[in-house]
Amino acid sequence: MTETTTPPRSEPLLTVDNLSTHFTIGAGRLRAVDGVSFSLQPGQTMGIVGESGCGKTVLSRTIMRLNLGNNIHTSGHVNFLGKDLLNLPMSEMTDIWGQEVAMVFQDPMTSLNPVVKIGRQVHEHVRKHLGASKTEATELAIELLKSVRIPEAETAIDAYPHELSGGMRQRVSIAIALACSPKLLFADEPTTALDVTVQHQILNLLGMQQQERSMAMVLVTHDLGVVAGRTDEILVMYAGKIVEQAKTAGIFHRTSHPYTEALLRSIPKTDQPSHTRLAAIAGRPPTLITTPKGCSFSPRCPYAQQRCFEEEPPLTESDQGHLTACWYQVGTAENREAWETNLASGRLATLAVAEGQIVDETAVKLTSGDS
Amino acid sequence: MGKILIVRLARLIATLFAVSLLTFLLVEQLPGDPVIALLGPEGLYDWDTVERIREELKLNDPTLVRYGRWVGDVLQGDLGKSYITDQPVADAIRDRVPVTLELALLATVIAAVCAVPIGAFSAYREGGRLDRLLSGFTTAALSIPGFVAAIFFIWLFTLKFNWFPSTGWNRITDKGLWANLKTAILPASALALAPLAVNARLIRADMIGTLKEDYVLSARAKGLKSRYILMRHALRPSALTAVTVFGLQLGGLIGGTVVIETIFALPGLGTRLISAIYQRDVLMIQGITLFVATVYVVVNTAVDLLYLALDPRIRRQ
Ligand SMILES: Nc1ncnc2c1ncn2[C@@H]1O[C@H](COP(=O)(O)OP(=O)(O)OP(=O)(O)O)[C@@H](O)[C@H]1O
Ligand SMILES: [Mg+2]
Repeated sequence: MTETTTPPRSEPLLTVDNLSTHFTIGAGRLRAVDGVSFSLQPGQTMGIVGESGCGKTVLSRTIMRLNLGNNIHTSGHVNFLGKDLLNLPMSEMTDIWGQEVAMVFQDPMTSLNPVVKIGRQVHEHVRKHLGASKTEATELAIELLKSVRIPEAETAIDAYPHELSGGMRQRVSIAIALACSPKLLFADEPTTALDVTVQHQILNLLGMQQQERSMAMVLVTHDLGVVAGRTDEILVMYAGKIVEQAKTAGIFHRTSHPYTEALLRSIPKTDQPSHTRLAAIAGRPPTLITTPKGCSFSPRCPYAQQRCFEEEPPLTESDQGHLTACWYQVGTAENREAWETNLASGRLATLAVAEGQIVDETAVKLTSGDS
Repeated sequence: MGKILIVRLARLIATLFAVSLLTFLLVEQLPGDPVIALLGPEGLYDWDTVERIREELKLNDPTLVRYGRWVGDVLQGDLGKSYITDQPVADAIRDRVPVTLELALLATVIAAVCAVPIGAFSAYREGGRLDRLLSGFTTAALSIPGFVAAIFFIWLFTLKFNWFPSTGWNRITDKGLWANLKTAILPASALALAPLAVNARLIRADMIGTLKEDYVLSARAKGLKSRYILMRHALRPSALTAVTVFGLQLGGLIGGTVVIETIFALPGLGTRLISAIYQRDVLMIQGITLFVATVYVVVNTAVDLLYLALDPRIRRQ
């Protein structure tokens, strides 16, 4: 939908360079985000995909500098609009937040203040950033609520969050985020807490608003199905690291990391009979505290060979603009060979995939068909 | 809503009955006699007069009969007269209550106004130096008895600086607000110290929880200033416990002024109650106790209603 054939090559809006966020916790050092780099052009959409706990939220909060606590170690650089975000004084940061960059949170049940009326929550930062008067701000709030399709916006501004449904609340959060027309919007799993039907409405609303305002967006999700067709580029994260990065079409059509392949396999398909077993990814994501040498996905990978357990694969360009961190990339001859070897030796992770393969092939085909 | 109010009212009346009966019985247990107190030591030698006065005041009736008679009078709006001075109890209360009420209110205001920023900022800087400093202060404020603080204030502000008088009271109506505040500020501050510390701690604890809420993070992500977030977003959801306690404290303060009024020699209800107790002036004791209890219960009911105003989620149910 928002995919463009030739992306404009202008100055990037956001550049993230070798960003790491570690937490010191009782058990040691938790590497929630480890050496992430990417850049985002104005008006483009970047999808960040990965399982729960892989560091998506920490990554977006680190970029936005919204991580709280005194056990946090951040390194690397974030450049936004020519500013070094991580080293900006707080007073300048409060001018960027809400005005240049905004965020839509995962759970609209908790991200709105229960004791503050909707109207004020929508316009208070407009008054601060744009110096609007109270009446101007109220009018703008009504207009914004209308633009996110909230019925009876005039009365909604006097409502409290608990008087609205989850979908409506998320619309309010979007209105809040859009209020000052930011150049960049972070949407951290904006629909995970909502019904399937509402999910699509919210995502469409986000897409439309984004095009209207030519705003860049980072769309975080654990569901590749959500980002399909809504993003220009996709980052696949595993255990705090980027394992694959490519244009959306590249991710779906020339999937090259086994983890991405596994994610694609696990997209629930609404047009499948509901009793079809979902192909989940065998095993658990690593704890992030102990970093095993080698590839962090290797314990769960159906293709893993000796090398994968010993040497960590670097993120390298496999195709033009397509980055993958894997020794045995999907679609290569080495990969097929690794598969056969593992099948023959009876590796459990491989057998698990092989058993569910009939279902999975249709899933993969369907996905690549409609993207 | 109507049903809630009726239940509340019934509970209120039951409480007042219990309090007044208990007071009556307790005073009865005290050694001594109002008539002796009235006549002075000579009374001991003039037994006939004592008996005559006892008859006149109907003091020889059984306790419960006298209590019943008192209740009957109160229900008709008559609190009776002092045995000793013949002053109607209602007049005495009317005369004395402005002092006590002002002290209690002023103390509540001081406690609230200081506790909010102390609690909020120590929560905001949880574990930091400011937090530890303030927490040391609240611990001290809690462990020092009010009368010690009062004596310290007198030493500091009267003897050292001579800013405020240590005794006496200027009525607003006679001398104006400023002169009045000058006499009220020291006793009110001494009175405020403990509730201030309690409130600051409650607000801090609540606020630490609130600051971890998602909506505080989303307020930050909107670029709002820390102080604005603290006061406009975090405080109100954190204030529910504190408001309940404010109510309990206001009621408690009205009773708690007794000691402070005595130290500063203020013409309030507390000092009047003390002298009534010394003189076994039963009706005066009953009247003042009933009044204080009524204020206490009414204030707490009002606080419950304030709860509704603070949290729209409760209002709806
Ligand atoms: N303040 C913190 N202190 C310690 N560890 C943290 C903190 N915040 C997050 N983590 C850890 O960092 C890791 C990444 O968490 P994150 O919330 O970014 O995952 P996520 O990819 O957003 O998952 P989800 O899909 O569930 O939202 C988790 O293991 C989490 O426990
Ligand atoms: Mg998350």
